Amino acid sequence: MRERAACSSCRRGAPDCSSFEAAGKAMEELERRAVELENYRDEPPQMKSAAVGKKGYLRLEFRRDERLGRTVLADLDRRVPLLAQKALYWEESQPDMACVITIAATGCVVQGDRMALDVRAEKNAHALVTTQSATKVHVMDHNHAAQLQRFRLEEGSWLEYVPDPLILHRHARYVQDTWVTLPESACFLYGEMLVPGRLWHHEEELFGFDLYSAGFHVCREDGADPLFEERLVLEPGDASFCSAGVMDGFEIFGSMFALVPEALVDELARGAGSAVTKDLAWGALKLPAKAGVAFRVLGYGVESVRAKMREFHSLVRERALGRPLPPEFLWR
Amino acid sequence: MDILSLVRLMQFGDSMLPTGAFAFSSALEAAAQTGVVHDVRTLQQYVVSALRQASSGDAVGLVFAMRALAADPVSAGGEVSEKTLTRLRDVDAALFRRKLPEEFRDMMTKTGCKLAELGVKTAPSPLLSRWLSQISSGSTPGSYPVSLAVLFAATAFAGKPVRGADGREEEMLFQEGLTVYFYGVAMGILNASLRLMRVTHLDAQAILYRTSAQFEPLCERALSTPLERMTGYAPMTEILSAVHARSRVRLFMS
Repeated sequence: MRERAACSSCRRGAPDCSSFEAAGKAMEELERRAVELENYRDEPPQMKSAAVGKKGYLRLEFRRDERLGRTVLADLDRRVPLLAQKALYWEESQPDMACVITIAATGCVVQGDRMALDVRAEKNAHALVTTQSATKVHVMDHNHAAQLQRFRLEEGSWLEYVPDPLILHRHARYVQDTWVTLPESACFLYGEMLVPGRLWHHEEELFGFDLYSAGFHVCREDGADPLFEERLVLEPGDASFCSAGVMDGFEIFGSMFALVPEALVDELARGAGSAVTKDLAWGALKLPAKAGVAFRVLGYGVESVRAKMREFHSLVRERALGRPLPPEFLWR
Repeated sequence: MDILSLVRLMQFGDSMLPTGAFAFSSALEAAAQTGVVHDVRTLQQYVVSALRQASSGDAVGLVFAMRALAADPVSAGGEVSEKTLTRLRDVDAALFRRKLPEEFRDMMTKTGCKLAELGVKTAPSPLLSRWLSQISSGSTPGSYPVSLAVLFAATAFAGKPVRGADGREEEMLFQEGLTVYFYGVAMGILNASLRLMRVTHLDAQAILYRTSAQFEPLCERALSTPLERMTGYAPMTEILSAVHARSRVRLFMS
C-alpha cells in the first residue's frame, strides 16, 4: 500500500500496476496521453474496448526461497485473456532461475484489447519471463490495442523479459508503454522483435500496419525522473522506412536493453560490437546515465535477427552471471 | 520580417558559425564507409531522415524552450525568472535522456556549450550569461536546441519585446528558431558529405534546395508535438553511430 501511495502522488513517474484496478487506471492514463492514437479511438461495433475478456492483467512476483535454494513464483494475479504457466527451471546454466511462460488465451491481440503486465523481482530473485509464441496484432478497422508493461526489481535481482516477435498485421494499431524501476545492483534484460507483417500474405501486408508506438522508460526509483527513455512511433503511411537512415531496406527490427551495473557497460558495448553487412546490421549503444547498453539489430529474417539477439543475450549472461546461455531447445 | 531579424537569422543559421558542428558527421562517416550512403539519392534520404527525426525530437525541445522564454518577464526586458530556468533545465534533461547514441549526446552538448559561449561573446546579455553558467557549473547538460532557444530569445528580446497581443511575433520567433535549427541539421550532414564521399558542391546545394522545401511541415510537426511524446525511429542511424564510435580511422569526432 505504501508503494501505491507513493506512486499515485508522483506527477509523472512510473505507473502503478500492482493491482488490476490500479492497472486499469494507469491504462486509461496511457490512452489519454497517447496523442498518436487520435484517429483510432472509435469504438468497435463488436465488443466494446476494454470489456471483460478484453482487459487482460497479469502480475507475477518472484521471490528467492533460501530453503529451496532457488527463486519461486511467489504470487500471481491474472485476468483473461492473460495467464501464466507455473514456474519451471529449464535453464541448465542457471538452475535456480524461475522461468515462466505467459499466455494470451485469445491467440491474437484484437481491436479494443487492453493488456497490463506487472512483474516484480524481489531481493536476489532470478527470473525469466517469455511467451509461448509470437504475439500477433490482428487486422483492425476500429479502435486500437494497448499494452502497459511494468517491471520492478529489487536489490541484487535479475530479470529477463524476452518475448517472441510481435507481428503487426495489416492496419494494426498498437501502443505500448514499458516502465522499469531498478536499483544499481539489479540487472534487467529486455528484448523485443518487431515484424512488420506476415510473410507471403498480402501485397499490402509488409509495413501495412497503421501505427506502432512503443515507449520505454527506466527509473532508479518510483517517482524519480527517468535515467533514459525513448518512444518509437512508426506510421508507415506517413514515412518511408526503406530510406538509408531509417531501415535501409531491412525489414525486421530487434531491440534489446541490458540494464546492468555501471562496471559492465563498457565491456558489454565492446563485446557486442557493431557492423553493417549485406544480411544484418547491429550495434550497441551506451545509454545515458551509464544505465546500461541498448542493442539494435536490423535484418531480413526472424531467424537471423533472433540469433544475433541471442548472441547478445548470452554475452550479458556470461559477463554478469558467469555462464552463457545454454543451447536453444530444438523445438523453439 | 524586419532587416534586423533577417540578418540575425542569417548569422546564426550560417554553416560557418563556429559551434564545432563541423567536427561531427551525424554518423555519415560510418554510413559512407559501410556503403549505406553511396550516392546523391541515398545522401538525400539520409538528410531527410535526420530532419524528420529532428522534427519530432530535438526541435520539439527547441520549441518548448522558446515557449518558456517567451512567457517569461525576460521577453519584456526584465530578469529571467528562476522558474523559467528550471523549465529550461527540464527541457534540456528531457532531450539529453532521449539521445541513446553516445556520439549524438556528445555532439548535442558540445555544440550547445559552444553556442552559448559564442552568444556570450558576440551578443552579451544577462540571460545568455545565466544559461552559460548553468552549463559550466554542470547543473544542466547544455543541449544545442536549448542553447539556440536562449540565444534567439536573448537577441530577439534585446531588439524589442516579442509579446504581441495576438502572439504572432512569438510564432514568428519560433519559426525562425526552427528554420535555423533544421538548416543546421541538413547543412551539417551535407558539409560532412563533401569531405566523405564523391558528391559535388552543386549536388549538395541541390539536395539542400529540395529538402528545405519540407521545412514548413517539419516546423508544424515540431510545434504540435508535446514534450513528453518526443519520438524517433532511425535504427540504422543508431547502428551507424555505434559503428562510427568503434571504427579505427576517423575523420570526424565520436
